[in-house]
Amino acid sequence: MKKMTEAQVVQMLKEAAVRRYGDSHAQQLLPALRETAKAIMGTKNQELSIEDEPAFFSRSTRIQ
Amino acid sequence: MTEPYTLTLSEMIAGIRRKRLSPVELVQSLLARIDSLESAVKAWVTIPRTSLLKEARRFEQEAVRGKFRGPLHGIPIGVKDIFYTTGMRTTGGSKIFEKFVSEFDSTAVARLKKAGALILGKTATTEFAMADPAPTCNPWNPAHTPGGSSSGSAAAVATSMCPGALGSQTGGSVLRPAAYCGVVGLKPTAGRISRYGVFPLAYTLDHVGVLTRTVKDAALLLTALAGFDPQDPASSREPGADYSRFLGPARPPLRIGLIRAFYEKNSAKEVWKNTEDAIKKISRAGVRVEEVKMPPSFAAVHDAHHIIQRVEAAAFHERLFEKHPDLYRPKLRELVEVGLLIPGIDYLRAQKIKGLFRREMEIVLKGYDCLISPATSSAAPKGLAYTGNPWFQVPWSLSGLPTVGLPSGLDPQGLPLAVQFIGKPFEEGPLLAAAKRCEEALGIALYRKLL
Repeated sequence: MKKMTEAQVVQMLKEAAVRRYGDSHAQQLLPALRETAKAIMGTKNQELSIEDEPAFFSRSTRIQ
Repeated sequence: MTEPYTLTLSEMIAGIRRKRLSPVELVQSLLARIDSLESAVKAWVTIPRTSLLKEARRFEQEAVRGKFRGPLHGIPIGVKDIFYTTGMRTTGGSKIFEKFVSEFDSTAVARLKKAGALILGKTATTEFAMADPAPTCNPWNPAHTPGGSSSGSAAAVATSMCPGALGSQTGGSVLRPAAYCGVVGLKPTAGRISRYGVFPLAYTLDHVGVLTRTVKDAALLLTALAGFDPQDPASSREPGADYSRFLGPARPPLRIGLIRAFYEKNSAKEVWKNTEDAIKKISRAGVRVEEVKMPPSFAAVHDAHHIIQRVEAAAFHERLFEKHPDLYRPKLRELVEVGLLIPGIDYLRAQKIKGLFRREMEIVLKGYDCLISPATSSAAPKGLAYTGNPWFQVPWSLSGLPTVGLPSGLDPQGLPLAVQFIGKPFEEGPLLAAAKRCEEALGIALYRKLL
């Protein structure tokens, strides 16, 4: 499977915005969607191991 | 005679304990201070004058009889208007809740009351602690933002309208307004202070914090607030402590790591110069400061925070937003609308980065007592429509690591600048001790200039 490009992520978010809010409002949201697409790409570029789990509430202990 | 409002929180405690200061005189002095400044600063949403004075009289009678409810007996504290308070509105800075009165106190407020504090009133917040500003002005220059979201808390403490206040931080909402207004900000480790009864912004990023004029005062408030709360799923079982005990005269060797790369690159020139000057003074006081490298995951922390904040804010606001779309202001509205569109897989990846960054930072912190950086990229920006950039605090809100913001001087325009210290998880005591030593080395106490 090919990795999505930032432009494809913008497109995906924009299509979701059109479905949820309509064409005109999706257009207004476009700058914010671009920022979010950039953030999504930033996290995709971070290497994670298969052992990494979502943190949710941070570990609630001191450094061991 | 010294006006009671000019005293720091710890001086007020000592005055009441020694029966040199009455809680009634103290409340009256603070109310007079508020009356003289509030029209210019706009820090407060609600002040329950009648009930407050009635309560202060009861506390005074108890003090005369030698009865003290706790270490904060008779000390008036400001509370950011997102903390539930019985008998007082909690608006969240939103029109939706403008008449809302909770039937219970948030745990933080309940613990302050248990320690003997009086709730002086509710301080102005940005809408639901996001970015749509409160009406509050920066007390150093009313044309500049006080920062947010704990805008009223920071401005009220800076102007000595109250000796300390509750705030909250999801991105940079305690340390940023503290820096812009020239006061001390403390955001403890995630899980250290209960968030129960506080309007959430983002469940896994929200922290309760405090704003005071001195590090010692922050330690005193944390002592009252820290501890496990079964009603908050993020609450830690790590026991709290009497944090003022860490602030004694002992001067053990102190090693502080300076985070240069990201912070120097993103700081205004005068900010970085101020940080370097502060480090020189701290070093002259015998503290070893050396550069430290951030772990690889630092590169993704702002992106991960961006995603988590939007998705979790959308999760909280979805129903309310559907019901009252017109009562939402533009910045929160946009945040929610975007958050509703972000795929679950991207949210979970961001949460993985959150965990990875915390683990990597724990390794970095093993070599130091704490880390230091500028608290903000610039002094308070001009204008009241924008509350400033939270980027310098975001990594520590994401990781949940404790931070203390300390005033470090004025910029050429006369606006406050600050440095922040980042500590090890659940080691607020040593972190406050390091901040106190640096506070003494800097010898600034900016708040005195506003008295």
